[in-house]
Amino acid sequence: MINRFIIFILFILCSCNKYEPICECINVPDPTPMSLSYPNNFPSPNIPVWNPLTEEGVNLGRHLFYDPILSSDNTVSCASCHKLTSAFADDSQYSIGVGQALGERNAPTIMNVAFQNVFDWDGKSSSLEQQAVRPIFNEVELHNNNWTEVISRLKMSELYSSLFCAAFGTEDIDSLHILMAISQFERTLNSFNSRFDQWFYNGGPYTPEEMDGFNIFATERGDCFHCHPIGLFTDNTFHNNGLDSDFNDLGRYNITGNPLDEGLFKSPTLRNIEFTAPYMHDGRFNTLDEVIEHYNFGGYDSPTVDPLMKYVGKGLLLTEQEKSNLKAFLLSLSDSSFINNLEHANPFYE
Amino acid sequence: MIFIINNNIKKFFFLIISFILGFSSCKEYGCTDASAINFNLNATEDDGSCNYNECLETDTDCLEINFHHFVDDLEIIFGNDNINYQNNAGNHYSVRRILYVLSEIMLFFEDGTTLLLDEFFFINTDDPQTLTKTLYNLPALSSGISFTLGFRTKNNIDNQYINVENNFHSLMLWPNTNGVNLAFQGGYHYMKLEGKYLDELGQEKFYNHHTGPTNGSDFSFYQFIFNYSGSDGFNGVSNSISINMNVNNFYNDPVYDFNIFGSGIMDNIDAQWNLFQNAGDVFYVATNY
Ligand code: HEC
Ligand code: HEC
Repeated sequence: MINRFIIFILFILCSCNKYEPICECINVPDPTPMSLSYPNNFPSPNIPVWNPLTEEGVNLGRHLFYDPILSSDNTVSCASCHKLTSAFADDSQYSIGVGQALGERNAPTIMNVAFQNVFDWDGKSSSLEQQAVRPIFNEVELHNNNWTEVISRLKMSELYSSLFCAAFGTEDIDSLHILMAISQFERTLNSFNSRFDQWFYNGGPYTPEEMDGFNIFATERGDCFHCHPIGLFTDNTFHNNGLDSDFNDLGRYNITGNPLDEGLFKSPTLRNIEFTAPYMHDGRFNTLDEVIEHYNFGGYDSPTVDPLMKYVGKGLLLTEQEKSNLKAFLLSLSDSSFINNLEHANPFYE
Repeated sequence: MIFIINNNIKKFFFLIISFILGFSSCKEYGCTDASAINFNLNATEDDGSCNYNECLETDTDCLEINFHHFVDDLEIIFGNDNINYQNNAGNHYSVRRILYVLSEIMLFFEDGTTLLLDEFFFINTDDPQTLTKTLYNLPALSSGISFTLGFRTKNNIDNQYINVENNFHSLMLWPNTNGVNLAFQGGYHYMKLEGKYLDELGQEKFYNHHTGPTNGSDFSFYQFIFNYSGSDGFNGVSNSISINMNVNNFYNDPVYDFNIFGSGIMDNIDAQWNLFQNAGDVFYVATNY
């Protein structure tokens, strides 16, 4: 507290006297450029030219991501809902924001988002920089009222003055650089080292059950790949996968107003699906068995159900063995090196 | 709230521009409209050279191509439940969406020259952006076009088009099952035609008529050729054409019965072969004015 007070005084002083050396962020070395590695069935990452990845930028973003300072009452951070142990999804059906407020959708994973260009279940955001604005002001998430209050909390922190200085060569914290740093960190949260990848690319071990499950997944036997294609395991677009015949949440329709979009949601990635339970936009399924049962039953018909759900009304008719093989395949998409990666973890516990 | 970003970017450009304006003493002529393709940041005076990437009626160096989809004479109304179409086998069906690839596109021109395009066309009826293509800086008015439906084997390589726009890769990839299932050896679909049909009992079912390199074979349709230079009832050369698909012609000759081939056909050589044999007359071209 005393510390913060002193910084506050310093801050007042510097704003009055621009030439006070202690608050100048000058002669800092250029931030260190960073590049991403990824397999050849991932597209090139979407990195805006005006927000290149740097080690210092990512480090700042990581602090912001884990720091409840971004919430109006210093209780909730991005990581409260996007948990490393859940591969950056939430293990509760609906997430708890400031003041114990409950949201209406299950928090999705933010893994491999560098390679995608539509975000949120309904695709309301088209860049990470834009997406990050929503949770900061959403009343059931970080619940701020305006940027001024966010920025003034950050400006009182000595830590953030130095992190902003290292990342962007300025102590003058502004909204744009907050969003840039968070997005840089998010772009490093990449996973492609599962048992499946090791087998697919490097001829690593893979059981006959996993292979049969993959065959169900990647052919029209189970037909999962059209919406969850091999690689990112999301097709970056919206479908109605037959969860309901009447919709509580109109999903994509809320954004486009197109009747063909009623009840459509973005196909989620299936990487690390073992860790991201509960499942679906409303977290209705707790286990993968329930998900497989849903697809095996075929789903409910409605005017917008996707033709790719071609077993609606018939069901996949998988045997118990086939269901368990499909599950074995889904579990082979787990990448424990991802959720154990210390570079993704909370920097305040280091 | 998005404006926060935009404002900052604008401020940034504003700074740059004021910097340039402030420090350059002499005028520079060029296009000063930022929405033009030849916008010149250094220009201080507009000289009327702005180019907006439009194909005007009188232009002779561009070609606008529109894609339309029909069942016989009816332009398709997309939707699962519009089961109002009927083919030669008597199947009643609807069309929810069509996605397809046209590759090896060759343009023929009035002056006798030809041009083989580097890019292929990806058409997706769910994505209006893909339903018009405009080509610029052509040598003359176009008098004909030829193309392949799908990719020939030499052009159908796994992950080759991973960064193509409009989400092409995710929407069209043909799975590579790493040897587990030989019907699926990677590459891309040629076409995804989807909707509902009524089965023998009158019950609604989905069909997915997905064509592509089943078993690594080549079922792409090579090569459609259209000459619209004035003969054959065409109106003559034009800078605007429509490429029209009559979906029903996929099912006519030999007859394709939805009930025989079922919902999914990606590993069904007979179904692929049937659609391939039918493909020859699914397209026709019209010139527009
Ligand atoms: C209170 C819980 C909560 C907090 C706090 C929160 N999020 Fe989220 N996040 C969600 C939910 C719920 C969604 C889905 C929203 C929707 O679809 O409408 C989401 C969606 C996202 C997505 C889209 C992922 C995708 O694949 O589409 C990103 C990225 C994201 N959040 C980043 C952040 C960042 C960065 C922060 C901190 C600034 C943050 N979130 C804070 C709950 C939260
Ligand atoms: C028509 C496209 C489509 C097909 C086919 C499809 N899915 Fe999905 N899948 C989706 C969509 C869309 C969602 C999210 C739906 C929602 O939340 O409303 C989803 C959600 C999931 C989830 C939950 C993911 C999460 O993080 O919540 C799993 C697991 C899953 N699908 C597995 C499969 C499997 C296995 C198959 C094949 C048997 C399959 N999917 C076929 C589109 C599809």
